[in-house]
Amino acid sequence: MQFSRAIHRILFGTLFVMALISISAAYWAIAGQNTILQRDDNPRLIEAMARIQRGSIYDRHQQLLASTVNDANGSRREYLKPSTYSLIGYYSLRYGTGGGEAAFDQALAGLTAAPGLENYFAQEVLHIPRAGSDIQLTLDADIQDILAGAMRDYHGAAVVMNAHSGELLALASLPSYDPNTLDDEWDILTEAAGKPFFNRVLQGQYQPGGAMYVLWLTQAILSDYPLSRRFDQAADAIVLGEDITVDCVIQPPTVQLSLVQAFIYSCPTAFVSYQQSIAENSYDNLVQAYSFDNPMTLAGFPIPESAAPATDIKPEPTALRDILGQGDVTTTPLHLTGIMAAIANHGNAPMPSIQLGLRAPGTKEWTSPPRSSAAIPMMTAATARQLQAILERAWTTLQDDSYPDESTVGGYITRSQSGDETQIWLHGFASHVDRSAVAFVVLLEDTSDIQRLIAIGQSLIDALLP
Amino acid sequence: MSLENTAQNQTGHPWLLALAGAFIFLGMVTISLPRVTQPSYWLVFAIWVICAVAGTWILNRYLPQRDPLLFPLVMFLSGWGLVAIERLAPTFADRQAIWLLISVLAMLVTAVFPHALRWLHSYRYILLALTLLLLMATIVLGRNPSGLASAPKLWLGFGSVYFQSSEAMKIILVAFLASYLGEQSSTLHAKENPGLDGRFRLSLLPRLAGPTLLMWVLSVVILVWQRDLGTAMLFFIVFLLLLYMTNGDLRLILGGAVLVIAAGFVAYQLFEVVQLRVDIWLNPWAEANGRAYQIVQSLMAFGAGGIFGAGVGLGSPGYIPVVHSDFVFAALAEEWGLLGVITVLSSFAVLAMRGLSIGILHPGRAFYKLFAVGLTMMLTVQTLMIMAGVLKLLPLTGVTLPFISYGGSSLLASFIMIGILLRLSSETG
Repeated sequence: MQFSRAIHRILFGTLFVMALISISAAYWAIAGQNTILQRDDNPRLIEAMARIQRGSIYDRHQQLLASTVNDANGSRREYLKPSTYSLIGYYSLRYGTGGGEAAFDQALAGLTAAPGLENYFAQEVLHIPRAGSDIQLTLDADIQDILAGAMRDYHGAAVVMNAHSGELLALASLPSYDPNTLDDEWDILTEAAGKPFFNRVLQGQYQPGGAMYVLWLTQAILSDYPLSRRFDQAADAIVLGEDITVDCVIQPPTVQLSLVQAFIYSCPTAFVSYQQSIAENSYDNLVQAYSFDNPMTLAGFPIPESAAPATDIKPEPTALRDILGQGDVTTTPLHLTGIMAAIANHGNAPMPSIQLGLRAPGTKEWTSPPRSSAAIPMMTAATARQLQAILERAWTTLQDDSYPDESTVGGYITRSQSGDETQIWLHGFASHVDRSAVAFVVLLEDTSDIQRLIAIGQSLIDALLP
Repeated sequence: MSLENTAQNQTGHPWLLALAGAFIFLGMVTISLPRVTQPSYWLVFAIWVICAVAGTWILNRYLPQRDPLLFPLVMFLSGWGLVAIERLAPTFADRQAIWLLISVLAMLVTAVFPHALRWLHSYRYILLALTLLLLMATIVLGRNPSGLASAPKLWLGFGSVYFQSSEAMKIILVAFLASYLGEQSSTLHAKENPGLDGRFRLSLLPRLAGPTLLMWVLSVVILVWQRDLGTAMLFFIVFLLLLYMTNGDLRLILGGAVLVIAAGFVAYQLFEVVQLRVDIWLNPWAEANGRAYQIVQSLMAFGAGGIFGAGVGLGSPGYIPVVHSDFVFAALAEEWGLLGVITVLSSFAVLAMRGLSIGILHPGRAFYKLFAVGLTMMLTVQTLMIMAGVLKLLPLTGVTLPFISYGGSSLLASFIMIGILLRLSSETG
């Protein structure tokens, strides 16, 4: 018995240390697993990403826009429609995800599947590569093609939205990039002056410029102000600073203009005179009503960057800059499209959406994602009708096209200055008795080519109407 | 749990080897599937089968009274090691298989040769002197198989064959300590001599101090000249355990632990390699892509493996530098998961229990008892040190995982230890 007690103690000590090692191994394998595996410097993350059979992306007519292709070199992501690149974004093992690939990453990567026993067994025990769901977008690739083709020589943005449902039919931001060659061109793209990764539709914070005239027109309608009352010297320019002069975007036939005419030609002076002539200014209320203080966004996509008001504006009276849309308020093309949708939709701006359906891996049926039916009531239906009529008149003034019977088309052109650049905008809508009304906004940066902008609008409207 | 009750099966357990063979066969098939089939997989497996079958046959013939679990267990572990090496570093698999053949042969010779134990007991001083000479030779002529100037030179090279002298020392040192302490055991054991007065206890001091000093000097030599923190710690811990067995006083263990910590502190101040290992043990995350890359990747391997493992050949243990050697345990965790880890740990636990039970079953033969416990603990402590290091419970020590890691001299020494344990187990009656 001399040694047996000591041997037993040694054995218990050994087993105790082994138990500690088991607990430690269990900790790293179970409890600490997520913490350590989600570290950015875990090279296994890249391998895990490479093994995922990522879902495909389709447009609303089930035209394939992006898919995973398996070939001799492994799997790679293939993007098929250049016009949709800026919206679809990118998926790269080296640089992660961007755009729609990032917004729908969870579904595309198969991470939204129910964590049932079957999935656990398939992935954790059998190690079957995870398959992602397919995504169907509300996008119409044909309309997107037309827009991107018409705007190909410019930097800018364009949005087309179903005015009733908020479904986005087109969403283009230029310049764009080719996600198929992203890994090779990453450094060039990130340093490019045109900021191709910057989605102008969703992130661009622009001065609204002449888009603010809609607010003053609304204010005038609501207060029963005589819209036909003419203002003298209404075609004059207003100098806001050394580098900013706000004048008519389109030269009017006369210098005496009513508010409606000033709106059609996008002339600032009439609106300034109007504001100075009324006792009560409802600027703050209108900014809130049009939701400028809470701009529309697309879930999962980048949100607008911080406001970047014009840098060279001298300290003019706040009211004047606000009246002309060169003040503190900034906005995105998406939000301005929402305002146009409200005009076309009885005063209610629908919540924008981009996802039409989702198809789980291995199934054929598309399911619709839950959609918000909420809308932002921006104006009364009566006001919307009056604004529609003014917009129709404005569009007729701008161009000579004729449209199919039972169609309604409206639109106007404005200008703004953000930073050192001037932007021209086309805001409009088109509807037909057989179809939902569609709102659109087209923005061209650093150009004054109004005719080009109108031509883009015409191409777009032709595509939207039957 | 009582080690005395671990009845020995006189016929052995051939079905255990068959089970191990099936496991290894499946492993080889799995890693060969995605690759172009190479004959080397099957050569490696064939060598394992030859070792298992021939070993069982010889042991059944010459040592029918042996412990029935030891041989199947170590064959299972070494077979698993072959699969892991074939998976992680295929170019080393053939070499490891040849080392397995040599090791099993050496084990059989040690187990079957009737005078091995007596010689180790009788010529302990000569053998220790020879081993120390070998250690000195390593200090002077040491090389590293990698050829890197900065790598520790712990090997003696003969052409393309390398041998780590500290591996031989593991056996000789335990034999020496078991022999020496066995002779002193009746006087050293405090519990057996309750009447010892203070003066007599004092007279025992040189008998304790002699081996303690020897071990301390040996550990310091290994640490200072070879920068081999792991082996130094291993020798000292095993020595402390043997001393505790002889003396029965738990304070020896506590005192020894204090000495190890103190030595570690001094080593930390003096040696860069120790400093590095302690620093990355305390906070590996600060240098996850630098000096702590290996340990961080090792922990990630445990995370990636989860409970069931990534699957054989489906994980990414290749991110861990030198994974087939020091970090093979992490590779097993990644591909076989927590279940694999627990299986390996359980195998070593059974190995420890069987080895220690051999010590219990030797009534009245102190040398045999101490030798069995010493060898068992040499294997077990080494296992625990590398496992704890890979899991960041202890600083990394750079020792191999017995039977599984790549390394010929480690495998050879481990199998010789098993050979001695088999011999000891057959003489328990």
